[in-house]
Amino acid sequence: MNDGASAGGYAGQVLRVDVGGGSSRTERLPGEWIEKYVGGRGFVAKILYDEVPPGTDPLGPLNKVVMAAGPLSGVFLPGSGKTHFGAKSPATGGYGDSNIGGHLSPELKMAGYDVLILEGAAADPVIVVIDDGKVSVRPGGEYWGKGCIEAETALKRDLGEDFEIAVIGPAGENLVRFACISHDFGRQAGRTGIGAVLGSKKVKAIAIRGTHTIPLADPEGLRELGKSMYRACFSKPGFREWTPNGTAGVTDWVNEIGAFPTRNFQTSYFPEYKKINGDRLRADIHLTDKGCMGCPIPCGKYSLAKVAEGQAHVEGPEYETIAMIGGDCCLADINEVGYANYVCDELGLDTISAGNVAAFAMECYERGLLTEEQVGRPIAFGDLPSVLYLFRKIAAREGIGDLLAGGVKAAAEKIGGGSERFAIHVKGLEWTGYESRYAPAMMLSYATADIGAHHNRSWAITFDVARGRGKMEGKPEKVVELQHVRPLFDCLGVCRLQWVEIGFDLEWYERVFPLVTGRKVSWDDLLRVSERVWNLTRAFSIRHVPGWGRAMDRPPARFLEEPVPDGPAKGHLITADQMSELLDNYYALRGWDNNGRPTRGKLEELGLDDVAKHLWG
Amino acid sequence: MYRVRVNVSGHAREYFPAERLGAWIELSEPCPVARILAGWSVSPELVMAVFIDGVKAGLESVAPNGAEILIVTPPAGG
Repeated sequence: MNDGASAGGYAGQVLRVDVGGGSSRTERLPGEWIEKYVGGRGFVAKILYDEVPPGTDPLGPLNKVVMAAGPLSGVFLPGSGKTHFGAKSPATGGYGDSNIGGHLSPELKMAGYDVLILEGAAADPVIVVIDDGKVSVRPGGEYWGKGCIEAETALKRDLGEDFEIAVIGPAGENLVRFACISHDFGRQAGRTGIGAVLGSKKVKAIAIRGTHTIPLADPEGLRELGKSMYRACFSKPGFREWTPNGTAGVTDWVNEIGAFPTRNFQTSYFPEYKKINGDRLRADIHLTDKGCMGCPIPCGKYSLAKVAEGQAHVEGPEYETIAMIGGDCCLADINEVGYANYVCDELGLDTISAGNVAAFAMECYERGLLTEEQVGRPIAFGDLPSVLYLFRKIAAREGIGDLLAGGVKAAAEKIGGGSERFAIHVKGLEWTGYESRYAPAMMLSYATADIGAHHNRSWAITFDVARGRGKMEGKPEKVVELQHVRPLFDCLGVCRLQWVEIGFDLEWYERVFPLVTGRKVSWDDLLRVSERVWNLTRAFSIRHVPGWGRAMDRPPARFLEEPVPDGPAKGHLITADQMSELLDNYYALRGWDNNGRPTRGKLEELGLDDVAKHLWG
Repeated sequence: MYRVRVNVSGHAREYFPAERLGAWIELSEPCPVARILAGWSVSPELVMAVFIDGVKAGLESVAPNGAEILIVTPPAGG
């Protein structure tokens, strides 16, 4: 079995930092982790499962924040700038993770580490500084209270421009359960509230500078194959056409098939979508493109948004922000969406959850479940000042913001009045940018995603379209397939957009893996790793959250009981019986029992014997 | 004889007939892009954008003889 020090692609070390005591220690990267979990998300899942016991308060000192690189992070191939963060999620109480683009994981590896684990909690604000082998926990009070971009600017000024920074904003400091981690002036690890976990530890920022080289098994071979991979990207049909609008380019399509979140998911078509689509972004506010390390198809669109309140430079808005702050809050101006994006970025709020929560609050207000006195002012769909007001109140946990800072599930439990029917989440994580009442595979993807309602685990909506949107047959099979392929990129430490956006062939990764690591593995071997990680994260959440299983693998009542009222998907919904049938088939395919619990046999087959003992005795 | 070449971008190209992509196809007369897709039993809802010889077009556009048609399928959010 390889160990961390001898395997190419890995720095070979794990860094643990006790942020309360200020000490740190370095451990050898276990060879077993490399073999069974590969890296990135796999390492995060393994560490959280082993080291964060059930009963741990997500915002208490026993929770841990794990940051991990993959073996392909930072090497010469397209999209190698991905980093994975994880923690027990304050949004769901279960397994939480989120990936981020930019330059963090390459820098971490060049500093000598594949994994950073933050433990404990500081009494006062700190920053964690990793400067090659020198690790320090320093006072961070002067940065506390600053916005993400403001703080990153100050940290680079004070430490040096060559440090890569991960930072939280006021939302993370105030333990908002959908606070994100920000990096590179506008990239975020947005989902599952890991920014709040950093805030609970009083860690304002992580700063990393590395000057070592990343060991490679076959540098010459990688150089040649890497060049071929770039050439293949550049020559792909659609390379030139995809890049100008980035992910925002999908806005028209999602509306035209009737899947665009609108008015807190009351419907799935926003009549004014052409005012906030990729073409408007490009024509009205776009300044330049911005990509992560080594990216040939930069999806980041750096923009200048101007509204009555002021103007702001922002990276974005990308599609999810357009959907959740644009359509779901009914903002029909790309400048307004861009400006609200900027406000979230500074506050350190996940734009997906923030838009979802604001839309939920506006529907509650429309229905009289929240009063002007409770909110502090009138709020309305389509009104930018309402949206900005809510975002700022949430980040500060002031007034109505404190009620909403726990997310829509927690807010609905307090507001009552039937609001839980239109609190659009799964397991406490807010739904993202695809309304799925006429897309069974996508609905199943959301219901079963391991972190709660999230699109990136299995983006199956094109399969729905290709195979028949009303059909149930074959949908669970596709969801399981995608739930192994897509998260595998997060284990490898590379971006999946080259594959999903321009059709970059998966075979490239099987070819490049041995050149980096020295280990010859098949794509099926790697998919097996991804399946192992999927079962591990499921087991984590089952052990940590009572009822995590079939009863929670379901969309909100609105999606099961209210047909889409208008637009291209008018009249459609997925019934509870259909959902139940989808789950039956999904669990059977996974080797899980009828309650969505991995069976002993499946866990042992995946080499997770210890997990089998925990779940089954 | 009407000849065009069709290519498809994005992960959803798996839902198109692989043997037709990138190859010249011959039809008896010019027709809209949508009709070519219908002949392949491909849902027009899989199409996010159409380009003909690099210029943005639509499903109802008729490519000139000898043109290259690019179908862009939807990206997966972000």
